[in-house]
Amino acid sequence: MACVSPPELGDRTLLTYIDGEADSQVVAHVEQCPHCREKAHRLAHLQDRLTAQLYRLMCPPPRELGEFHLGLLPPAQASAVAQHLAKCPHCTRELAQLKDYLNELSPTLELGPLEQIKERLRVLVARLVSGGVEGSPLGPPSLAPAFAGVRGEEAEPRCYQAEDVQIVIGIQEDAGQPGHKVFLGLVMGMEPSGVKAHLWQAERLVTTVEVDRLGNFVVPGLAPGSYELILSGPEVEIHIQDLEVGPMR
Amino acid sequence: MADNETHTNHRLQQADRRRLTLTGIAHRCAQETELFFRRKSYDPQYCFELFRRAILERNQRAWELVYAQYRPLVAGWVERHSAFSVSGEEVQYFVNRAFEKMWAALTPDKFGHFPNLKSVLRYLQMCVHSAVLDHVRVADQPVVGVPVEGLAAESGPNGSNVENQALARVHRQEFWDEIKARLRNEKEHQVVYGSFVLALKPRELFAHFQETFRDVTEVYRVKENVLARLRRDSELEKLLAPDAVKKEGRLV
Repeated sequence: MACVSPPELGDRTLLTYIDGEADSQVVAHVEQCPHCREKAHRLAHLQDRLTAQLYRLMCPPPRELGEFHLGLLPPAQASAVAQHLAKCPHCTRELAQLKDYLNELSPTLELGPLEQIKERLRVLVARLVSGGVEGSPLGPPSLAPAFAGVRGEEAEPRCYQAEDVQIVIGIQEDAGQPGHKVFLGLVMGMEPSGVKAHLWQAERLVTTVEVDRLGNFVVPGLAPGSYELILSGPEVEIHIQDLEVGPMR
Repeated sequence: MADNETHTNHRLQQADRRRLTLTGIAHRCAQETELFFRRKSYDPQYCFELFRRAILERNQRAWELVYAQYRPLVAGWVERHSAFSVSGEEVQYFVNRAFEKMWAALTPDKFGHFPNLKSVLRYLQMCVHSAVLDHVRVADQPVVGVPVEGLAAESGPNGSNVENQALARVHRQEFWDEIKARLRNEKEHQVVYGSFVLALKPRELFAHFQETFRDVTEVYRVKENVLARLRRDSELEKLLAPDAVKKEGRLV
């Protein structure tokens, strides 16, 4: 096949055509001449294959650019990235995009000028005072007699203490759900207003109940297992870890 | 408060946090985050402790709790990324990619670079951007119909993809070494680098390397000469063939 309108177009002219930079005469020639059009196609295909192999070969992945921006790269690696940025408009653009993006999101990580951390919540881990009566410096809890003799209860209520706060927990059979238990709780030494009892199992929240104005709380329908009870108040929070609930006897 | 007293209190608070179970930490983190979103005073140390256990202690369960706690926040960051709306992907896709990047990148020895929760979350924001950009780079291929080897995401849902990407990168580096060996001077190097590594048109290339070339015409001339030489090179033609055989990690 020969050029329909010699002289045939050279590679340099065909490169301008491929790039959309050629004048109208060249464009018309290529459209009319199968030979020159085929040459242009082969040249474009060669460039495509080279690009497929080489495109952004030296560019660090976006995460590495991000770590460079955050100052987390070792010095030698940071220097290499900086040298690359001097030669690569793509990575320079991406880095600028990252900076803009982080600046835009920055307020989502900030407190306002007035909402600084004031009084930290006191978080306490309660300890089990064995038996709940003996050894307690506060004396026997007043609820203990109320638990005594109730069918389906554990042998004795459990008494926990955290600083000046005492928590008594009685465990009974849940009459409404066979095979399940009920927690009957009493909190003393802590203002009960606004206090909630959160019951967790295997890092999942099972339920949350309010502590009433007398310091009582009830959690029904508990399957046997290991729980953690967290009493959250406005100023203090008490964690009772490893609260075992055994099966029905 | 005197510095010594502040330092002592900080160590005591740190010791108290360490005594809490994972449940206790997750609970406090959720409570404090709720306060933060309501613009009230909040204590970031519990959430920071959750990250510490996940990353420094490589506690998988703690990491799952980090994910559960921060998934909604990260989803919001994804939606605010300028490239997300045109990506064609779901929010959850980039949320998962961002967490994967963080988990893979933040080894225990690196955690020392993060003094507080804000710095950790900033890194997570960077991971969101990185996940979106991985997607953009693949979609931004300059050649239609010719897949760019090794340009896929740095980390994808398929673990074996990482190994394939590494191999592809080795092949491409070898090919670049072969090309460089056939270039005669710095101008040819810049034209080939600019045209095929950066995928710049000659006019853009000239703007980028103005100190090297007189004008755009010179760029075209150098490019014409290099391509003619490469086309005559039968060894190179074999390397460029679609079915180029790869043995033992090397092009043959």
